[in-house]
Amino acid sequence: MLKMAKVSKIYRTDMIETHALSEFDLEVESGEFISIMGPSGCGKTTFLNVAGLLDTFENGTYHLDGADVSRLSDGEMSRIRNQKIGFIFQTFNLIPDLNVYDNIDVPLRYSRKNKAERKSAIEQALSIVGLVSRMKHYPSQLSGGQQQRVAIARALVGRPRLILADEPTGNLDSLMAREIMDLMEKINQEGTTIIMVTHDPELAARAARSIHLLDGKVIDLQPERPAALYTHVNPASATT
Amino acid sequence: MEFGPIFRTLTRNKTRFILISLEVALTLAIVVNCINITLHTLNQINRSTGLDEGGIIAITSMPFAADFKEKQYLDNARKADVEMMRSIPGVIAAESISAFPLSGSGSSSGYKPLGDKKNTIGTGYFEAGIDILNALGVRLIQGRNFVDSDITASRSKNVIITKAFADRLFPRGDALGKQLQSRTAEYPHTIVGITETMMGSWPTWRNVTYVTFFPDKPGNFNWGLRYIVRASPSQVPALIPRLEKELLKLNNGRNVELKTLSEMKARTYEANRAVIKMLTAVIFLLVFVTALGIVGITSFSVTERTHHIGTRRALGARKLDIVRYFLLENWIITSLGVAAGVGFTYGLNYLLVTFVSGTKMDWRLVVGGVLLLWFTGLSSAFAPALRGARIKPALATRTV
Amino acid sequence: MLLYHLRIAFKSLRRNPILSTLIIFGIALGIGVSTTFMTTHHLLSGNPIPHKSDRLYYVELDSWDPARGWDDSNPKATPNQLTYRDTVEIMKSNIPTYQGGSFKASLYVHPPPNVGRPFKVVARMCFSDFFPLFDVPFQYGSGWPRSADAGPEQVVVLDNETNQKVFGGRNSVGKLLRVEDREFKVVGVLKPWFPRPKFFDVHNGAFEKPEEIYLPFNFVRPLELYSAGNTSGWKNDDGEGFEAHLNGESIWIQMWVQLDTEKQKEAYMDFLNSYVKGQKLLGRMQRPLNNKLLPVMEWMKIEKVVPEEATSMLVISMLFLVVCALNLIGILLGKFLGRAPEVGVRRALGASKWSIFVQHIIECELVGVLGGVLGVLLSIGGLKLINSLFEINFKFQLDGLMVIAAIGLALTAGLIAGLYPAWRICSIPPAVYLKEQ
Repeated sequence: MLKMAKVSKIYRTDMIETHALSEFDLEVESGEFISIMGPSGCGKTTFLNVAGLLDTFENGTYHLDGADVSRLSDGEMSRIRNQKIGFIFQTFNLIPDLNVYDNIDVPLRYSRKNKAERKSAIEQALSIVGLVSRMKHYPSQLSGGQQQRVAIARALVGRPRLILADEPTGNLDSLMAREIMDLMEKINQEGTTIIMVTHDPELAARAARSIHLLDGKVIDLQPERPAALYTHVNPASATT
Repeated sequence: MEFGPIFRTLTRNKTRFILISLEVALTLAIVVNCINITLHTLNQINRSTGLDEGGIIAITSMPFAADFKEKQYLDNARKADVEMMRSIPGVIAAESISAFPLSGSGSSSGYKPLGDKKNTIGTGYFEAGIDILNALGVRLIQGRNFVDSDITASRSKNVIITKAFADRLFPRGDALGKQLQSRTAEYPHTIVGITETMMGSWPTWRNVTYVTFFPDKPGNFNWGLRYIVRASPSQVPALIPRLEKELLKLNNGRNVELKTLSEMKARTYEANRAVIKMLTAVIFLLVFVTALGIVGITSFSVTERTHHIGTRRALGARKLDIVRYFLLENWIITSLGVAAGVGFTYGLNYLLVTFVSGTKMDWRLVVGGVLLLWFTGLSSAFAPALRGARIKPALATRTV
Repeated sequence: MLLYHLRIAFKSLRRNPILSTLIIFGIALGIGVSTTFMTTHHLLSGNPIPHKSDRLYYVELDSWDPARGWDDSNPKATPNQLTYRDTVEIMKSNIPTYQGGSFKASLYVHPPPNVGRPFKVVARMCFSDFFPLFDVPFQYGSGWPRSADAGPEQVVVLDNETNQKVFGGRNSVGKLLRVEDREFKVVGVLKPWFPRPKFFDVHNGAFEKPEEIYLPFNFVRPLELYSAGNTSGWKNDDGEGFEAHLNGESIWIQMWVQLDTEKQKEAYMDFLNSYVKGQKLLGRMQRPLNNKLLPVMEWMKIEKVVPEEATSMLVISMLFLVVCALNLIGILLGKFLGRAPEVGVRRALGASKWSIFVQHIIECELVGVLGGVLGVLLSIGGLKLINSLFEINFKFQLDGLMVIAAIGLALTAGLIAGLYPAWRICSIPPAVYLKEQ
């Protein structure tokens, strides 16, 4: 599904060069649910940006869904984001001016589907997240958990092969966080690959595989022992 | 002060602030040039005409009775009109003339000192009865006034000219008694008197103060007869209907029209006054638009830095400090604009003077314009800055 | 997609009504002011007779002082009117399709006593060709026949207002009207006619109304008419009296010819040249041969018909619009950049750069259209104000062309003002604003 080989990403400012990703290797199979962990500044966000084709990188190769996406134009990247990738953000990133229906409609608009197709896709996505009744509500009229469910519906609506989630529960209380995780698991079970960045070990533990990043590198790839690193951590204290 | 941080912020958001500076610069250039034109035009309108405009009634008598075609009848009618008007209480003087000063209608010709090789110099001229200086209230400053015997059939005349024209013809100041010729030297005229400065028929003409009076019996059937009547300005409103009635009573074979010279002047300057009003409107609108722009830009600055302001407040900045920060930022932008604008102002002025018309820029206007824009800038930035000052320190700790 | 962009643009304007009002009002002011002065300039510089302006020629002959030309600053300039004697002579040509010298005179009309006292009118002394030459529109009757010119026959054409005043607006063709000391037969009444500028005689107020009555030119001698318009001279008449005036060198007649073909024009120029050469043999017209045939619009330009003030105000108003556009760029830039997080989301969800660019340009054009419409309304007010400043014979009014120009100007201003902000916002890397909000 996703294969990165020796990917490097360098941020340059006037004074310093930061190697956000260096010689980064990762392979993700279709249908996996992976969590990525690591301290602040370890390259988690950079990884998401590169994986989501939101940003370019200097060296290495990146194959997505069998195609080389290492050196694409801005337009081609936009098209792939639109068709193959869904994003879920910590801060939901709903557009405040648009109601629930219109927010979910955004990616469909850029894929030039006709009105009937869009309508049925949106309704289906809404039923998956259980918010059909809130179709005409605006983001400000919804709770945090509901907003994130709308965001998930928006990520789902284009039937992407891959969902990238960035701290999807970071702004939610634990009850709502659990609901969101349940939802994401359900989506994964229906065949969508999910890569989730988090620093919450409890959540990370729910993924099938957990990857640890430090200084732009994968430091521990243990597919056979998922979450083994954290088995001794008291779940209660880890929920910050 | 906070110059350092402000400058660094400005350089990071260059484009937006350059735009506003440019807007301020253009506004300064346009506003100051418009004010310059306005003041120049106002000066033109208000400059002394040398005439008692409010006290002078200009009368046109347009004969239709065929009798007027006879020269003797016309001469008698003119004489009767003038004598009747002089006898009316309140009238200081009355005399016939060929056209009215300041009216935009009249005659001009060109003269030069007799025997001079150069081109003739244009002057407005009036043919008039001998008491014309008194009727116009124009003082003779050299030589003598006209006398009856000056009105002759000869083509060579004794003339009275204005000092401005005399000085132009004879720069050494010895015009009195000298002779003038037109293009050819056939019929020279003799300068017998010089008056103080007054304006001729066309106030916008370069040579408007060059005026020549010929002693004559002006008017004919086709052109009509014209009179100048002088009275004290307070009597004029009552005199106009009275004179009209008496003139028609004296001779009904004509129509008469009476106007004050100030009415004629207003009509002549109508376009100039309109331009002043239009320019004034443009000046106000332009300053208004620029103020809107500054309000908008400062609002963005404030919104953009909500978090930053909260942090400053949390770190102990007073409301005053926040207001001062934004006002200072605005002042720097405006000042950059104003500095460029001074250059633009002189540039635009140069273009106007070279290609259209206009007067040189007075530096005091530029200073005035700079102060105006500083004031506009600061007062426009004040409301958004105050909004910034009301941001709560607690915002600093909120992440969304 | 366009509709979607439009809907987003509307939502964006509605989100911050105060700011949107500010933006739209700002551009509306710019459009209002520039349209106002564009309209005045347009009306003052228009072509008064577009269908034949390139076939009508104003005739100039250099009859001026051999020692000093017509204009000290331009040696090529020719006197701007003709003498009586030259007019009479060149009227003998049969080359032009239509031709006619004419001038303005001041005459008394004596209506029947029950209508009122005699009143002065401004008359145009002209030939029968005057009416077809300038396509003068008639309400009743027509001009007089060519045969009436020579006599001259006592015929008169009235303008609409004079007919209203004397005959109560009825068809007065065939009625008699006393002008000065004789009776004239009315042969035609004009429709309201107001060419702008009054191109056939621009020396005496280029934007005055045309004359009130029209009489055969040749009454100049029996009525001893002097021009009521501009008369210029360089030489005293030889002798006293009216005949000396007619034979003198003063210029006061405007001569127009209609030449439909290039061949006709060449033939007429030859005719003028040979006429002037003949005059030179008689001792007149000693300046270099410099005859001119000036088409209408060229003549308007030479005579500087458009007031300088109108041009200055046009320039100033365009600068005003530039300031408004700068203002707009600044505000749009702030507004768009403030929306960077939203754009980041759209980019992440698959919007291309171009799509974001188009979306923002459409928002600018929406502002442009709204500002343009409001600006047109403002300019109607502006023109009303200007009309109230002048006691002129006509009113400045918007026409279709100016409304289109105003909207076009607004769209252009919106586009130009929007290009940079839209480019800036669409080139923001999509990842930057997703994290921080």
